[in-house]
Amino acid sequence: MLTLVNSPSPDQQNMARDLTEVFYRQMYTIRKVEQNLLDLFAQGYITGTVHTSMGQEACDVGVVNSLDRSKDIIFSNHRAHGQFLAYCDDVEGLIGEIMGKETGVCLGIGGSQHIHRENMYTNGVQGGIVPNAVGAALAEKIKGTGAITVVFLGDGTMGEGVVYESFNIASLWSLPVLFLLIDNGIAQSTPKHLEHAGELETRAMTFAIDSASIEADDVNKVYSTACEVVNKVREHSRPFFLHVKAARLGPHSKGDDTRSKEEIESLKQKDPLLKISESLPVGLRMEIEQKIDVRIQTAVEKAMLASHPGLEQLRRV
Amino acid sequence: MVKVLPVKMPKVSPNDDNGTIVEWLRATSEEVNKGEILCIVETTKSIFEIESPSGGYFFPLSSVGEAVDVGVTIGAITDTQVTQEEVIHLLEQEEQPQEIAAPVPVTNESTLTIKAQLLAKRLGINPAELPQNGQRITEEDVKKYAESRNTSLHSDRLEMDTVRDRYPEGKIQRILIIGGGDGAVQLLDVLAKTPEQQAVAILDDNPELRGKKVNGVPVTGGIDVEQIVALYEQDEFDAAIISISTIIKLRAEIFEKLKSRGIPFANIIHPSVVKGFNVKMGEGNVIMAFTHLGACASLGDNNFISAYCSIEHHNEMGNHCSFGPGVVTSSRVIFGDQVRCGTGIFIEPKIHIGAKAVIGSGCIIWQNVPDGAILKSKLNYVERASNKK
Amino acid sequence: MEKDPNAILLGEDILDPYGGAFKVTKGLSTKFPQRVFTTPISEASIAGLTVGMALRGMRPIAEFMFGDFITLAADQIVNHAAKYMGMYGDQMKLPMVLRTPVGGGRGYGPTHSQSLEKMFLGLPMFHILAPSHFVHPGEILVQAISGSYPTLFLENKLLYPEVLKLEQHSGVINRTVHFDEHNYPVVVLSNFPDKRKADIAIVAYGGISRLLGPVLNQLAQEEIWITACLPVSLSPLPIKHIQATTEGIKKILVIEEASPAFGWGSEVSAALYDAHAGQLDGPILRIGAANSVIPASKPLEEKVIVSEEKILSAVFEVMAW
Repeated sequence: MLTLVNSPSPDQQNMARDLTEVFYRQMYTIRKVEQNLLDLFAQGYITGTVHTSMGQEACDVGVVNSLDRSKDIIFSNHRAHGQFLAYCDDVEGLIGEIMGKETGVCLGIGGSQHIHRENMYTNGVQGGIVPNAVGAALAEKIKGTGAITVVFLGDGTMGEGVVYESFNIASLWSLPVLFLLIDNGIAQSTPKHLEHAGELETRAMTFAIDSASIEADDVNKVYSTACEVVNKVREHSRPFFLHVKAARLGPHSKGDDTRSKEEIESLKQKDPLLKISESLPVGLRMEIEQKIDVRIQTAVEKAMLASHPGLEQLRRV
Repeated sequence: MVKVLPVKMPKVSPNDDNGTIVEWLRATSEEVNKGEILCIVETTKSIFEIESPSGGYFFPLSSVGEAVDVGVTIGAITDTQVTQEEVIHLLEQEEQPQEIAAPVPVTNESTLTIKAQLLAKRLGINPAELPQNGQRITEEDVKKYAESRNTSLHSDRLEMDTVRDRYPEGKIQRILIIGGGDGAVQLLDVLAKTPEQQAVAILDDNPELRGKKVNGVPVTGGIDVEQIVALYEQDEFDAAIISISTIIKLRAEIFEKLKSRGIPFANIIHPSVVKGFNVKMGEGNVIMAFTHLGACASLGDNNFISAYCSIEHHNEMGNHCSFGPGVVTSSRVIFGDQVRCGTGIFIEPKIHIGAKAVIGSGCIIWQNVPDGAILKSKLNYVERASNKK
Repeated sequence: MEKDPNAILLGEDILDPYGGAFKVTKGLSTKFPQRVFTTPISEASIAGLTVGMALRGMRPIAEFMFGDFITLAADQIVNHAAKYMGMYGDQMKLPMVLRTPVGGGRGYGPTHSQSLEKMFLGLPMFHILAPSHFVHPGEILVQAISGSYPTLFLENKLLYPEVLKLEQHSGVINRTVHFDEHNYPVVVLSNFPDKRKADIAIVAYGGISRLLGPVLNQLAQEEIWITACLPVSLSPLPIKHIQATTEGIKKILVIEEASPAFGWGSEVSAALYDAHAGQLDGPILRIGAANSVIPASKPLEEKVIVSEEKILSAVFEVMAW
């Protein structure tokens, strides 16, 4: 079971204030880690690919905090750093992993797109994790653990056929799975209108899956909706489709953003960190940021010094 | 006339070829209506019912527990009440005796086992001469027979050396060389050492060679059969020789074409070749330096034997073979036509090498090689990096 | 399923009374109604669910109605089932079995008769098993689902009605069983008394076993002595056992049901050339189906797929060398 330094406090009185603080900590950590990763990439310390979650922090944090970390299951895709940090706050494990070091959460073997810790699994192939999540939900239902499974999808992934097979089975068999679509309106470089006919919001409804759509700029709003939805999924053991409109502030991976400056500038107005930072006293915010900056810096330095994994760490046959 | 309708084992699943009757629900000669259930049948994975195909009197003809193949009659319906014997008789009349194609026995045609056949072939024994014992002849029988006979398989030929020297002593044979590559250079080198033969021209399809000279001999044109015939008719040369050794098919084709037009071929033999007595040879053969032809060896036409080969006594070689340097045979080896040998090959005695076989460099052949086989030896060595930088 | 409550069955049309297209699962949905799921026609998701359940500690077994449909689940097999054990740097187990009937001989035509295993052979952390009727397929299935690896379990359609041949001696045929590194059986058959030496080693798997019985009997009459090696595990290849079985035999014939190009037989041959360099009489002969579609017309299908006649003529060809 995970123990988290910054998980929500059960103290009712200070709950709202505490939550905002916790959310800001997590969101700032995500943003800062991603920025560091981009810098490390630019400096040549990271190879392969880094899909950052910048702009989607409110969604990642809001949704993950609505889960019961002790048993609920998360499946995610190539853009999962934010969810991972919100889930387990393992900054060192993530940075080490992406730098391909054996201190990484998966010994540096999986890298940015293939991370796993406790009940969270990610895989870089679009759509393929969706039936895995449905299978996990089925397993938990048979075991009677009361755990629900959430699977993060991107708007691009909605082009994969296996997603709809999974909708069908999840609804047909009444499985406790939350399909969480983070719709940032762009798949790598292709805008949504060149990828999809019709609306994404309504797609799961034809499979008799309850659906809702929200904006991802306000973490508190995402959190409260997510709590409601997660309770519903757990209580009724039925799937739910939550459509979250988010902004992708960074490129898809690295140096592959073809959007105009104006477009990105307008998206930055929706930056969820702006909104939440307004609701915290400056002094407290500075204190939080300073601590996190130091922590990330330490993690980067540690990862720099760590060894790369050896052949003996690979499983074979 | 009594009408009889057979009830056959149906195919209910593509995966079952038979069914087992679990239970007859109707007794012999009981009256049944169309569609009534006659029996229950079980296949490997399912149980199903067989319905009566029409109304009438029913006769079950298979027993419970019997596995019946699909399509086989398991019962019958008659329109009048008859005895079971009559039903069977009627069915026999009705059912045309099916001509079942007997499975062609793959091997049983021969009274010899395959092993025995192979050994007989290897030893050159005609299977007909083997003593019959009422049973199949085994490998052991063939061995015993060969031991008892103890006769050599090859009759020793006492024929004269038939190398066709059509030209009287002192007259020079004028040679037309076909092919202007490295082979031509080799041939010219040999011809320089054989005073009774002299190259007069070279033909090659490569236009760049046209008008040039190889070792003083002009390349006069392409390999054109009509032109060669014309040259021969104009008495420009006495015999042709083909210098191409690597493309056997081409070598054979050119030879056959020219032969059919009456062009004679020369044998070009390096003076260092050691020839045993009674060596027999056709024409168009090229034999390079230091090759040994054992006593009574025979060569067909148009073979190309490189340097340092040893064709042992009583070898028989077909036509259009090409040997690289250092092919060493033991006695009584038989080569078919168009055999190609690489370099450094050793062949055990009495081996048959099939036509168009290709034997890679370094092979040691100790058993027969079938027609068209390609043999490649295991050339195994370790390459070590040099210490010198 | 009786022994392990975590064993879950899914597949198309597997509920009673139908019990699956080949009736392999018949009776199970009646006996274990909570643990047998009939699925929509969604092969990718069937495989995907299986992976997800295995990730969460269950031991799922999925049936694909025909082996040909496995390509629909290729992404799940390659990028999910075969990846989770290796890419997270931990010691995760992923016990799951995808069962499917394969092979021709029933006139199902081009898209229902194939043996497509070569498309997935050699995937790290993914096992492919093909039992013959010289082993107990049920025991092997239990072994696979009790193990750690995601497994593709191939059932040759023509073997369904066969009677298992598990006795040590049956006529001229002797059967011995070895066990490979993962404890799967490697069956060795011979058609000669102990002290003789085999003329030819045959290496084959799965449904070819059906043909080997009659072939070995017939060859014994021709004094052609055969040692046949039938590994259950196709990938990873128990090559040490195959090498040991074929050691000292001068001629080798490799038989597979699929077309031999770029296939299992190529891998076996290459490994045997490595092991027996310089010790063989001639090249290793590989036979399999013709490199064409598998036709529906039964007489033509018989010409395309491997038959007793094809094996016999291959043996005679090898013997003549």
